[in-house]
Amino acid sequence: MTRRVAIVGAGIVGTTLAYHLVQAGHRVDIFENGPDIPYPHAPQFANEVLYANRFAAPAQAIPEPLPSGVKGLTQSGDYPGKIDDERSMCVGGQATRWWGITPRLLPESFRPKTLHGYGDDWPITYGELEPYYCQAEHYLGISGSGDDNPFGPPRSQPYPLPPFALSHTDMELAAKLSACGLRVHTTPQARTRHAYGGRPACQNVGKCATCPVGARYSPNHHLALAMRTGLLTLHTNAVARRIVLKGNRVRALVYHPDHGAVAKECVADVVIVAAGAIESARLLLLSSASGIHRNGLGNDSGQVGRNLGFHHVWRGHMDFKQVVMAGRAGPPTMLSHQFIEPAGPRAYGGVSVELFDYFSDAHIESLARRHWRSGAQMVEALRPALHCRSITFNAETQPGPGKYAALSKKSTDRFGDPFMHVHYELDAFDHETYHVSSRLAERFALALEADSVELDPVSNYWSAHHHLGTCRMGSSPRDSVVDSFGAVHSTPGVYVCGGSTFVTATALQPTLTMVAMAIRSARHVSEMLRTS
Amino acid sequence: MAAAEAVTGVRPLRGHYEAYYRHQAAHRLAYRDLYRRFAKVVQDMASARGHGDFTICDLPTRLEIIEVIRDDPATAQEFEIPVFQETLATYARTDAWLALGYVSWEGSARGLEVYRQPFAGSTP
Repeated sequence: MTRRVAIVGAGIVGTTLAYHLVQAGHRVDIFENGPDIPYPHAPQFANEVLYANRFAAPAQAIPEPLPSGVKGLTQSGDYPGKIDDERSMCVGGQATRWWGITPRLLPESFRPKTLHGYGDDWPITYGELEPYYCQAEHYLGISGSGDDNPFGPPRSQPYPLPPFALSHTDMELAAKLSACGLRVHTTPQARTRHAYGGRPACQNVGKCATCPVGARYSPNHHLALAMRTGLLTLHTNAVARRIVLKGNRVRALVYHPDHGAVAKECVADVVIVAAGAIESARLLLLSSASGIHRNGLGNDSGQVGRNLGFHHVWRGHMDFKQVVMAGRAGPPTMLSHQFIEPAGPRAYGGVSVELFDYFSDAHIESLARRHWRSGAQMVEALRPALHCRSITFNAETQPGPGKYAALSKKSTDRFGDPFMHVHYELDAFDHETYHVSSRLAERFALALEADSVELDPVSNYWSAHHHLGTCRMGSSPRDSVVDSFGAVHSTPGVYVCGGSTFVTATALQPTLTMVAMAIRSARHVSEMLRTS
Repeated sequence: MAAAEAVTGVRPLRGHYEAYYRHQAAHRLAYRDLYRRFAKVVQDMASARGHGDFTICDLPTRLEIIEVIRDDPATAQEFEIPVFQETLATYARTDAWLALGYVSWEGSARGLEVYRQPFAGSTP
């Protein structure tokens, strides 16, 4: 008997779930708040790269702007960016616009409390997830090397594609760093070193965030394949408003097609919420019912919305006497995982250090926005950038009372439902992590004989659009919302999948782990539907 | 294009400037009209200087006309950003890279071999 699954969110997690569930023969409806967009993303690339107009917004924005009243997150705390702008609501979600950096977490990443004395341990081990990491790497088409990173986790299979080699300048810098005990290596990434799975080989356009040919992975690739089975229905511009229970078990998803006023029900055996950390928590909170669900699904202990964690990024640059000519390779090239898991108890987070062969876009942008009289004048102003190289720190964070998402008491959408309010502020742990990063920046600069190194101030941190936690996994409803498969405690048939279920935000980019866990959850849901 | 050539200093211009202008004109009605007005202004000024066509003026003459437009507050307000600064912004992400010694610019297909070779461009 074909079972029906409703998935909320058509980002990389929702589409991964959908693809694997239809492959297993289940009928899937996937609901996306935003519009569909062309894939491959050539029109987006034309808008944002080829014909980018620095002085005006694109005439035909991709994705199309959402109607007013769809987004309205409010925020407080010290996060310098606008969090609402970091949530891309369209088919493919944020993974239509990303660099594709896809490391695995380490075995130690799942045990911060046991090994380092902070945060909480995950209810899943690296060993349990490892087979799904292999599947995720094949699914996304990851190019990488399991041999050149001495700090990498154990692997049972090689990467499906060879790595993108370091640039010539990378190699020169790597030799200097190695002489000083600093190890760097290639970057695993969802970018095709050669043609793979119906996607063309990367040609090093360099603007990976909006890849025009599909060499860098987009969820739209597998969504199209899933649609061909005839088992998947895509609902775009559809607002998922409530999950409806019958007793404790899921019965349906209530949604509004085409952003309209009329509500419809999608009766489903399983509803999976994969709408990002903020919107997933919101849907659980809005779906309150009687009994243990009076404060929202999975929220009997008030855990939904807590444990929010961003993946903190501090950017900087080094200046050299010699020309280093960055920017000849697509951004993700050389990085170091040497400092992601310092051993023993500590009160600061691990960091991953990126030394990408990156021609500072910010520098170009700032120059281009000045008023110039001639090209020659502009070239002279750009010339110092040839001596410049980026250095970026991706930092681990721990949950805390100053990091949470909750229903807003002031701001509502056009249906009268509260938007989310996010409060986020750095704590002492984060400040200490920044000091560690600053010292490391100086150590790298010294080893590379750089003239100077400058890191953004601690206050100028960035989430890399990685919003994690809020519906975290655990073994008990007392301190978690879901189990390791994403099943909401005491609510059969309701699941939450994606970064929202992370227990901690590590120093490593989360996307591959999100996809590996989604594949594991899809298998679990499929087996559960088959046997129930 | 003749104006862009003068402002950027690139001769001859490759097709991406024309593609940029065509894209803006195709998607924004205001740009189509603005480009027409700009063409008329430079043509009139070329005629006033005894030249039949701005596009066949020599470079010093074109530059002189452009300087007049950019220094006159009335015409500068209309054309400085959408014509001159946008042209220079296009230059910044394309031909400026070549002027700095790169063999190609980000946004073009550069292949996966050249970046692994020693850089053979400009000297420090």
